[in-house]
Amino acid sequence: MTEKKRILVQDDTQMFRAPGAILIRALGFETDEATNGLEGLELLKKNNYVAVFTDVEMPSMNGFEFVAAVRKNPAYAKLLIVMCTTLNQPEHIAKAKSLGANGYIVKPMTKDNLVAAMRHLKLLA
Amino acid sequence: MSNHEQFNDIIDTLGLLENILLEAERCSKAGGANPQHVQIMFRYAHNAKGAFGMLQIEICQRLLHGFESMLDRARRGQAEVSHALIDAGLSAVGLLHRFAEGDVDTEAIVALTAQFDSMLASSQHTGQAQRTRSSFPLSRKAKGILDAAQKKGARTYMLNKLIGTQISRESYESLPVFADITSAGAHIIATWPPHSEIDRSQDQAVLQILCASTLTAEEISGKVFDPIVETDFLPIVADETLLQKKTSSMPREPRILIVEDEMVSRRLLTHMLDPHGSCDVVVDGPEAILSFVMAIEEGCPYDMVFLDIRLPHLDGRTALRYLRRIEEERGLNIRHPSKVVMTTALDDPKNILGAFREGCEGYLVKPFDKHKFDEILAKIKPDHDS
Repeated sequence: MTEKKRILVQDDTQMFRAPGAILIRALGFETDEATNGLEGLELLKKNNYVAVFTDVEMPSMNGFEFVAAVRKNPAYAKLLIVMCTTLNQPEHIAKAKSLGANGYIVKPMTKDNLVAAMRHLKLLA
Repeated sequence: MSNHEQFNDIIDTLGLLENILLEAERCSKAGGANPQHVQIMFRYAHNAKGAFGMLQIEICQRLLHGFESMLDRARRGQAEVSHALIDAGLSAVGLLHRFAEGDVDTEAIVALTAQFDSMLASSQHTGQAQRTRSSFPLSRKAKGILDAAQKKGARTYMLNKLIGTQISRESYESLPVFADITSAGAHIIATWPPHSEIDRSQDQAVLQILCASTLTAEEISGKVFDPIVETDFLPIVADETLLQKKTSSMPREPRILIVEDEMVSRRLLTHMLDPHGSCDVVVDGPEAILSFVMAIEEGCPYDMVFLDIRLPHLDGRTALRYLRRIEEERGLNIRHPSKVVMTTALDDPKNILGAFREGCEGYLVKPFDKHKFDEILAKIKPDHDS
């Protein structure tokens, strides 16, 4: 049996982070959780992730700053980043894309929009 | 996570939102919204909306979306934090609390949602950038840089960055937002609070970043990911060297500072205090700090300060913290601490207890009671032994 792929779930609010991680684990991945971009960057150094699902509004380092920081580092060139937020304004989607995010989920994260995003990114068949 | 647990989370979040709304209501009178409160209100409204979204309770989600959108505009300086907005926010919290308890008033929720929509439409219509007023302690060096930038025609901006209060010093001092501001073409003048002074009673706090630039807010905000607003900054200059001028040991008339934004209370307090010393009167938190510092620099610090808790621009409790800090920096906390009396229109035990912890000598509840007033005055008058 091959080792499960690892996904980082990043959100400062436990009530969003925990259910997101549960959904992702149910789809056959390992998960780790971070409460903001700074913690996320530390975890990226330690573990090998295929993707990060990140909130936008977080303290200290928000989702946009996180994407910008990750995309500056060539070591993470293949890391997929999905922005998850309730801010469904088009300018946020455009900003996330221009910074190098690979996908976008409008919260709440459900099995449906998660599976759709993962299929789009070829994380699921 | 069960729906039941999520409901508890929602109720907690609504409670936090209600607290900050009440705090904002106390501190914001005509034009005096506190940008830090707006940032935190936005955060809780955002979380509460997300929580209702997860439970797929669309009607509540829509209500909070309206409120969140207004707060989002407000924190970007595109809308005013009016009394109407705070009132509507409090009504929303009330309705949602009732909803969570099973008392569903669909009609009221829909009506309030429409109210937010119309606020949003009219704020988009006027679309005017609001200027804010802000104030925090500044070193002499930073004050020099600020003055020089302003002389060259630069505008001053405030960026309010939410931070996790458990952040390490190293991370705090090298947040990515600093590099982003610089690359956007703005110059960082000072930040507040320093790492050692972060208020760790909550899990999140606001880092204020004062910057200057000849660019417009719009030009800068394309490259930073937090709201940035133009600000009128009133510096509180922290003197690095202890003041050499000694406070006079000669008996002199007591000096009194009255900080009160509301006209009737101001006149009444001045009338009552006039026989007891020389009174200076100011109307908001930043002016109180400036006045306090000027009195020290004149070698004649205030003996008594009557400080309103509800104040525009900088609330009384925060102002009190700054006053005590200024005294400490100058060694006045031992030599000549001012006696501070907090005044408040609300008999609000939480605020009053908070003020005691932060070092005031007493409090007066408005309308002022002559007996209580005499009692307090007897306790704090400089010629009294205690």
